[in-house]
Amino acid sequence: MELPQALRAALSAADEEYLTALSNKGTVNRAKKDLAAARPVVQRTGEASVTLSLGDTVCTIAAPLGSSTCSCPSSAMCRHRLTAILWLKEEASREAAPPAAPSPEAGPAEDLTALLAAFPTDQLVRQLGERRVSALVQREADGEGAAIREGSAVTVELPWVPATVRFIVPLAHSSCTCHSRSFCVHRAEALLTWQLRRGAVTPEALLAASRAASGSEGSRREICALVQEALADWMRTGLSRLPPSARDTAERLAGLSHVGGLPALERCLRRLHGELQGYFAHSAAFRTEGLLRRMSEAWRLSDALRRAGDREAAALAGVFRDEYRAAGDLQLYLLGLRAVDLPSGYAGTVYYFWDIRKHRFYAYRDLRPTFYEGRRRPERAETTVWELPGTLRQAWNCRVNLSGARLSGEGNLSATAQCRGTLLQKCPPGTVLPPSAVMEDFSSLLPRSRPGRDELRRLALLRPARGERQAYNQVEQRFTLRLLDGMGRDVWLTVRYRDWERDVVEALEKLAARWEQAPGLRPVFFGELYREAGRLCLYPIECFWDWEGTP
Amino acid sequence: MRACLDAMEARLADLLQSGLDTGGTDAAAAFSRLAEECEACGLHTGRALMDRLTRLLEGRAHALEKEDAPLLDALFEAEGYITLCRERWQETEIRRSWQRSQKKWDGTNETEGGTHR
Repeated sequence: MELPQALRAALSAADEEYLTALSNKGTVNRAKKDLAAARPVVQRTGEASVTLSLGDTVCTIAAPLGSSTCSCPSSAMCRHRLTAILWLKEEASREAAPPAAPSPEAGPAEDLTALLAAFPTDQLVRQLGERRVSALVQREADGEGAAIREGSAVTVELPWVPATVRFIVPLAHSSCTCHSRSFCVHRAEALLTWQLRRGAVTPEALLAASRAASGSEGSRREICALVQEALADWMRTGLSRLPPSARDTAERLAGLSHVGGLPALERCLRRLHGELQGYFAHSAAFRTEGLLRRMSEAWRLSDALRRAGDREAAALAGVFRDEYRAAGDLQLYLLGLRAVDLPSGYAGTVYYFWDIRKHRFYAYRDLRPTFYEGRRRPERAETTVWELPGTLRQAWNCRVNLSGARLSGEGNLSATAQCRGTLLQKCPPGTVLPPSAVMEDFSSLLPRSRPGRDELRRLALLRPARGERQAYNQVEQRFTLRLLDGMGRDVWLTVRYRDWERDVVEALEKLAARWEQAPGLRPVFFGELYREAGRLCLYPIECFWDWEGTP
Repeated sequence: MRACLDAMEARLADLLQSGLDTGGTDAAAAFSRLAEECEACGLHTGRALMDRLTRLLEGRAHALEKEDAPLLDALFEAEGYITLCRERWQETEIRRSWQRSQKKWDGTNETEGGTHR
């Protein structure tokens, strides 16, 4: 059979190591078995390719072999293509091969060496970030680096991941055991290790480059393209085969978005990272639908940012939570506080204030990132800000006057040193907040609970006419109290039992028992509204038995 | 409508679980069935999205060069659509439940010897 010269050369250069690098060992073995029973029929021989049918599938084998295609659904190198390659290889070897012209596809290992050495180190450093590059240099210095084997493919084993990367010519067809089709972080780590070992770059130059790269910004469109590439990769691979390194990818992309001035996308990716953490930690609360929702948000936002002009992109990019504007003097009342552990990777305490003059809620968030720590610190220091005489927790139900306060667009207070606070007397909330702030008619709560609204705009104070305690849900570990207004409209107060919610659930159980004994009581609930399963729900932050009396 | 939305979301989640390479062909048939269900529930946009997904997934199965960007656009748009429908459904359900409670409340007061008003 007459084969195109470039293809013949590529076939003769493709040994088992090369084919394994193109797919994986299992698929190569399967293709060898299939070859025994295969009856390929050559349909067409083109200038640079051969099209042949194997049963129901049609394969087009071309040089370089990684660019061959198949009519089966797989977008990776499938067993059909490998079977066809092995069959063509046998056919080619039967004939007396003409002297193969040197071509990059079929080149000896020197070509691969040249390609690996010429790969831009800066690009690898940017992809990995300062932390990974430093760790890689340290591992090499300690002699605990990757194991490298060189042949028709360069195989780099990264035992600390663990992952195995196989480089071949062309580099785009190299593979990684993480199943990623794109140039993943493992490929970057493997290639950088190879460059270090070969002396193509020195550890000192590498560390200097990584420090310089950590301050540089990627363009908006580049970052969005990277986000979409990663999401497409995960969607093609599927969750069941997704490597744990996907978490690192999400975190790295969030970091890139932060540096690139895309806070909305950063928050999106942090939430996505949280979902992936839940999946890989086998969390019982993990839902594939939730991850899909996060991926969808990230995809649609990055797509919109990529297509938008500069002015539109500025609006889509959002603002960093720490962008504060001068708010002058504020008269506040500390209404409540709660501990939070957010899926976006932050944990701490949120303090909720009522603005006495403007009749709106503000928050001071004492949150720390947890995504750089292996686990949360068990004890956290109490919050002290604005030079108040004591901790913020001690200012609960006290009036606080601030001068030189700074506020973010979302209503978050800054801990700026320019702001001075004066702690005034403790007083009942009913004497500070007007009666109109407390909802006795629940019909007005529905618009406030709309998903997507800021948390502070979903806060509400409710005074129900009565409450109906529901049986504790043992399966979902959930405490529920049905709150009803005078017209029978209900809001469901719900708390799921978690470690940090234990005190809340216990307090609510006592409250419910007391309310059952004294149904004439009119407690006021302060909390965050949301919707779930066709119900209007409230996550409780505080409950006041005696709204107008002593707190 | 809720069952239809749940079914659509579950099918999209299955596709994420198995991946486009493995689950694409089965998903195309399922989305085709869901398109009919959507029409029956009055979700016309849902039907159009499910039809688009079916077409793109079937096309992908037979394509030599896989171009996934339009498919992912459709897939994530469908997810966004489900979220929006769910929000609207939640609001309608809450209002309905309140109306039922209010009727019950009015009824109770009338049978107790006239209204309180």
